[in-house]
Amino acid sequence: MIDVSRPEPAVWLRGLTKKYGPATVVDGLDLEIPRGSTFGLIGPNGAGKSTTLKMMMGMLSIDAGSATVLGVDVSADPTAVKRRVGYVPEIHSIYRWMRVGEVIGFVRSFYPKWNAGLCADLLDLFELDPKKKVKQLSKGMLAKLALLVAVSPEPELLVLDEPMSGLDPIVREEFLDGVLRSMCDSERTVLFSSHTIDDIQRLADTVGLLYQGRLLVHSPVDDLLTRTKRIRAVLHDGVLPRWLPETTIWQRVQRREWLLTVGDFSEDLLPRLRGENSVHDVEVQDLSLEDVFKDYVKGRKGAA
Amino acid sequence: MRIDPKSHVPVFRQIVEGLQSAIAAGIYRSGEVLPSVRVLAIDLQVNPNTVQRAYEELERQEVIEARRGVGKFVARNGPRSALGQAEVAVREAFERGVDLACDADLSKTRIRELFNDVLSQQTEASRAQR
Amino acid sequence: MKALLWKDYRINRQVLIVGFCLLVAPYLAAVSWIWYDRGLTGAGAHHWAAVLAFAAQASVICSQMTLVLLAGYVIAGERRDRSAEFLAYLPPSRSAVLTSKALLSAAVALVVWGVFLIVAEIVVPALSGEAAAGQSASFAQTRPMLLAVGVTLFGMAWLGSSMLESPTYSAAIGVVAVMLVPIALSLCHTLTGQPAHGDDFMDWLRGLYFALGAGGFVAGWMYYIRRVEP
Repeated sequence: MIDVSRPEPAVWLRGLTKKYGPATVVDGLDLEIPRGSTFGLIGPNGAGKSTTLKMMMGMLSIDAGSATVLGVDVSADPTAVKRRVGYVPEIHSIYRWMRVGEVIGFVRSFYPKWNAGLCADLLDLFELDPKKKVKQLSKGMLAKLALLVAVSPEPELLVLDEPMSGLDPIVREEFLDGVLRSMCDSERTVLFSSHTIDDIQRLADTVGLLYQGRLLVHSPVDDLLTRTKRIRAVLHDGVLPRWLPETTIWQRVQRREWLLTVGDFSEDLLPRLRGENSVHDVEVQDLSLEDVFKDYVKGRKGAA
Repeated sequence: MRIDPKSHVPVFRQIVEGLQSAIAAGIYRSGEVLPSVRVLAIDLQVNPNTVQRAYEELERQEVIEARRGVGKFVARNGPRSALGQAEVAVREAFERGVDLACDADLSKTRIRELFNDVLSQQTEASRAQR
Repeated sequence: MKALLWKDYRINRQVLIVGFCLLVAPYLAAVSWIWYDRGLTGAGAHHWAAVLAFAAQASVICSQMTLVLLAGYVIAGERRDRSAEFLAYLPPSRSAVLTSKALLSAAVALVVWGVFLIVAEIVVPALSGEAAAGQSASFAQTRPMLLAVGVTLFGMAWLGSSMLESPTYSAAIGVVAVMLVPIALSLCHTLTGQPAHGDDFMDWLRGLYFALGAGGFVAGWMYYIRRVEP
């Protein structure tokens, strides 16, 4: 049943696939990101985050599946997508001979809408000198410039590929400042990829864990924290676990200690756990986001 | 108030608890205006949505009230409600501590000894800070 | 489009400077020769006409180098320093990007041939009247062939530039194409007797050069538009 009152999602990926020779870097990815939300894509290096974002922006050919951004099929009309999406890449390749002011003028000429006031404010905030050439800019300045030209056209969707990797803490804070100001516009959807938990915890409403080209987790961040719990139980001598909760994502038995992480914990799991297994001393622990992700990855590795 | 992104407590809850303590302690008094969502988000370096949700929760707890077009203010009974909520959080922390102690098979007497120890140690430390 | 043209001009400025030197050097050489031979005021109009006619021919021949270098750099140059990836996520369509490059190339070709035609068709006859007109006539016969070679040089280098990452290899493709066509035609003549040596052969050669150059340009254009990776 189609709900015509609900606006289409900002991003809709269906079975998105990318292969490099025998290796499948992105494996049938399905993802829907509603408008106005902030989505964090996390995963180890090589998980396929950059590749996914580049396919979405029409910069990499799609091997299978489709990517629909702001209602537009990227393969069919990449120009329409680029006019409405601001993108900040991980590796910057802005013309090194241009001056900062020239870069802004150059980019500005391609957009129908440009918030000159915001641009001037950010230029000030980031302490960028319009006369400096791009090749004279430090990595941090370059990142800030890239962010400036990405948000000044007031795009409906902002895509950031590992935006803060390699930035020193002071520049990181300035960059984060710029991103947060952009996020205050509630109409804007933000999609960013990162391999640091800090960014996800701070910025994301919803998080997706990408591992070997597949989405292992897709959940609101707070839900993940409150619903994922680790259970620690002590097994009786010579006995192995017999029954696991349905949403177990990882488990390990070491000596008499049985650790298991459950994706959707509720108190009524415990009586059954105690009943079906020969255990005593059952304890429930909270997990940090980092632990949650690690356990999902460990669980996947174990299953492979 | 600082956010610990490594904690297992969701950020929005950290903000709620942080503001509860601040209001209970009198940093924000009844009727005073609170920072806007945008300002607080940039200050704490977190998603504005999260700050918005924290404010909504505090509104639900009747610690703060929102006046449309003007901003968020500490409710008349705000400090009292905040104290109540703060007590709930403290109680939960105590519960976790006692659970830990029981797991290690400590006796009730020993637990009380440890508690008194910590209490005098912490109050000494905060007195030295002032 | 203005921004793209400005960007393409700035990126290819070095090639354009080299091109300017190649365009102007023969004329400077002509002036030096006259100065050495007769002194600048001692030479008559027909001397100037003869020397300038040679200079014009040399200038347009050397400038073919400019066109092949420009074609080689115009697309591949931005791949080498990865700046194509920056433009790739900005709004301009592939067509717009290529149009700007084509316009710049057309402007250069216009200048090269324009200067040549002005000197050869206007200045030289004006200075010499009858005598140089005879010289112009024989030069005039080689003009279409020169143009055809230029078209192949540019078109095939453009095709290379649209596909490869190296500007120099792309330019080399233009040069190689120019050398291969007469070899292929000679082979054809050896095997089949056609086309016959003489005017027939030259017509075929010229026709093939035009076709190859135009085809290369169009193929390069279509390929670049369809390709997703910048």
